[in-house]
Amino acid sequence: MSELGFRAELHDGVPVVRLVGDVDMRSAPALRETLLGAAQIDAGAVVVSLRDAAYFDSSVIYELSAFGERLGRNRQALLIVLPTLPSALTILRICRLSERYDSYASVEEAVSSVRGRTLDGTR
Amino acid sequence: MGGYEAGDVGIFYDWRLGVLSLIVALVVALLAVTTRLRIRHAMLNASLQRLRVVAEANPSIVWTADLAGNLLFGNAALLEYAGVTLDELSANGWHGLVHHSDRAALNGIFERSDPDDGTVVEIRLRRADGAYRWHTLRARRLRDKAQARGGVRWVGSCADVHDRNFAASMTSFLAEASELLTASLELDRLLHSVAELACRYADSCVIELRGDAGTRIISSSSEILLDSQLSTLEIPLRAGERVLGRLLCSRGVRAFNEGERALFDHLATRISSAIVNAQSYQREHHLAETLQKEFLPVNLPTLEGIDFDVLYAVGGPESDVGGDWYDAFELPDGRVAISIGDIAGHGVRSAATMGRVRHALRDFALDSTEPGDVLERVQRVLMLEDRSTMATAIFGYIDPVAGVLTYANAGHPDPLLASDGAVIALPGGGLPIGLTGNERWKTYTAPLPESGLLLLYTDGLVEQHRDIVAAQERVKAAMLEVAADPGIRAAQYVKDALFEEAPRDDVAILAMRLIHPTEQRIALSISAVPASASAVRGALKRFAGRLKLDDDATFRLQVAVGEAINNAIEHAYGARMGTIEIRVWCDEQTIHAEISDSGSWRVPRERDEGRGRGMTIIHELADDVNIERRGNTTNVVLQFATDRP
Repeated sequence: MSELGFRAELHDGVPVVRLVGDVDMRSAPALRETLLGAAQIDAGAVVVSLRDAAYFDSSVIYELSAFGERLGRNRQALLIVLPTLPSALTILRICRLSERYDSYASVEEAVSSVRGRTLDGTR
Repeated sequence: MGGYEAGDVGIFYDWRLGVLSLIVALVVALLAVTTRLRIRHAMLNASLQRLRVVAEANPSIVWTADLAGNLLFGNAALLEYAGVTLDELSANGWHGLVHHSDRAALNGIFERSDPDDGTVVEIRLRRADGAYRWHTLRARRLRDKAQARGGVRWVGSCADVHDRNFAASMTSFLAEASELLTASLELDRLLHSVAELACRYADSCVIELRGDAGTRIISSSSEILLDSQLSTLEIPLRAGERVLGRLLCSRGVRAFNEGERALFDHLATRISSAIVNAQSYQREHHLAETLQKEFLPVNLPTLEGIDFDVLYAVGGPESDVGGDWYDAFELPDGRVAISIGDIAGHGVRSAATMGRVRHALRDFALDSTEPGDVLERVQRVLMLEDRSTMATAIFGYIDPVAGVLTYANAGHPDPLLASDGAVIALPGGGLPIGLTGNERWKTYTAPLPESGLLLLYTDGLVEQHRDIVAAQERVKAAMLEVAADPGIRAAQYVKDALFEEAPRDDVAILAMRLIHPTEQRIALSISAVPASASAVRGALKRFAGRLKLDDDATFRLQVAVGEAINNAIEHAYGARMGTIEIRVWCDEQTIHAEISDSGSWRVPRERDEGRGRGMTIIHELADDVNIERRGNTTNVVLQFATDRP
């Protein structure tokens, strides 16, 4: 596990931010910087994967919500790769993240989805 | 027959003449005896007179005494030396003249039954100025009463040998002082010993020692005299231009003479030198000790399954600080890395090397799973820096959930494991790190039974003892006692079982008591800062592992407790510092978690996007949420129903 608990990658030119292990209030500011950095790549969308996150809390939800709104203002999309644990899914549900943003089971699915989008962010 | 014959008349006459002649003869004889006695008396008087004349003419002290040793006469040399008249001498006798410590020796002379041999003793006689000087006293008892006149039965003389004796005793004194001053590096103890020694020539002695922390006073145990009674000698203690302190010697009887002043000057020089040596040693000792402490871990992991107890006993003040260490730290995956070891050698260099080794172990522990591999990598680092470095060490990982220890041993005393009323030495072992430079170590695995006690120690624990095997048996016996009583602090108990006083060499002990799951509970006190939360998550993960909770139940527990902690950090304390208490325990099928703070807690508003979702998440994940406020304390009490086996 890296100390920060997340890493940014490019998949087929699509920026992907993976949360790995524990991401909490302490690492939230660094997560924000990473997300904003990923948004600089003009791919029309940023994929954030929670699949490998062992722990995330409301501070992560806050950062993702704020980031999703920012992307929307810039005509970009936030795509979320869902965690596997039922309780983690519950958190996304009650915080309406899975309702607001497109969700996928894997990074590959999310990236494929982005590649199929038009440049203005619409399908 | 009727008349007398001519012969008869003659006989009668002869009888009368005979009587007369006898009387005359007796008178003549009496006169002769008397005359002889008078002559003899006159001769003896003349002899005594001559003795006195000779005695008076003698520059040495001459004296006479009666059978019991009472002084009858002392010559002018004695009267002048003691500053008394003959009458005073006769009245006071030896009392006041002979040093009280030497009176027994003097009395021993006069108690001798053998009159033939002359006797010689050395005693101190008080001079007119109050000073006592050593004298050789020779005494001879007169053979019979005929030799004695005027009750004189003892004749003797005294010769002043003080200067000769003082030179010899001064040499002996300084040699003794030098021996004392080099026998110890513990400054206070050696200075006290020398102060005691100085009282051979003084009534009391004080050494003032200046230091950064002020002036310390080390004194002899003798009673300090009142100022009005003092004759004081004050000599500075110096190291070049630097004043170390001063030596103060006091005496109530008389002033110190030149010889004694010279003696204490020599003593002060030796004391100064000893102080410099001891302070130099203490500085290095302190530096090494400080380094040693700095390199040892401040906090040990707080785990619900393992109770750590450690001890580092610094050897006596005269020992060099060693390079011993212990360490235990939690890895991100929930395992605990442990190490203990000992760098060959002593002092600052060993302490610094110990710091490098311990940190190298920490670094390599993070990205390895094989303890033998970790030791090899540490060896490579050490060999790059200094090929002469050598160390013994044990490095291992404890998986608290599985209850397994994996370890490798580089020439260190075997780990001991107490369980079920027996203690075993865990197998394994190899050469010390750095001995060959390319040694490899095998990794061993040992199950850690619940309620067992694992003990790692450095050789100082047993090697000070004459019989090392017996010492190891005492360690094992102490471990069994510790294992049987959860209330005993293991490391301290084992150390106390081996040492009644401080050990001479450094001793490090790392003890781990494995707590049965049913006895487990979490009780943590953390700083109200975001960085503290990960420690709580780690503890919760192991707690859940022991209870065999599945991943989702573990996640629920971690996130709900984590959100309560976040709220305390953000909303109770804000920018202020504070502490948060976390207690978690399991009761039947319910897990209870209580998160307490003493800040100004408030429930976040829902419109606090994201932040306010913390309470929503808590309510969703926990089966019961109760927020209690008592005074300044807020308790968030959570309950989680479990279906654990």
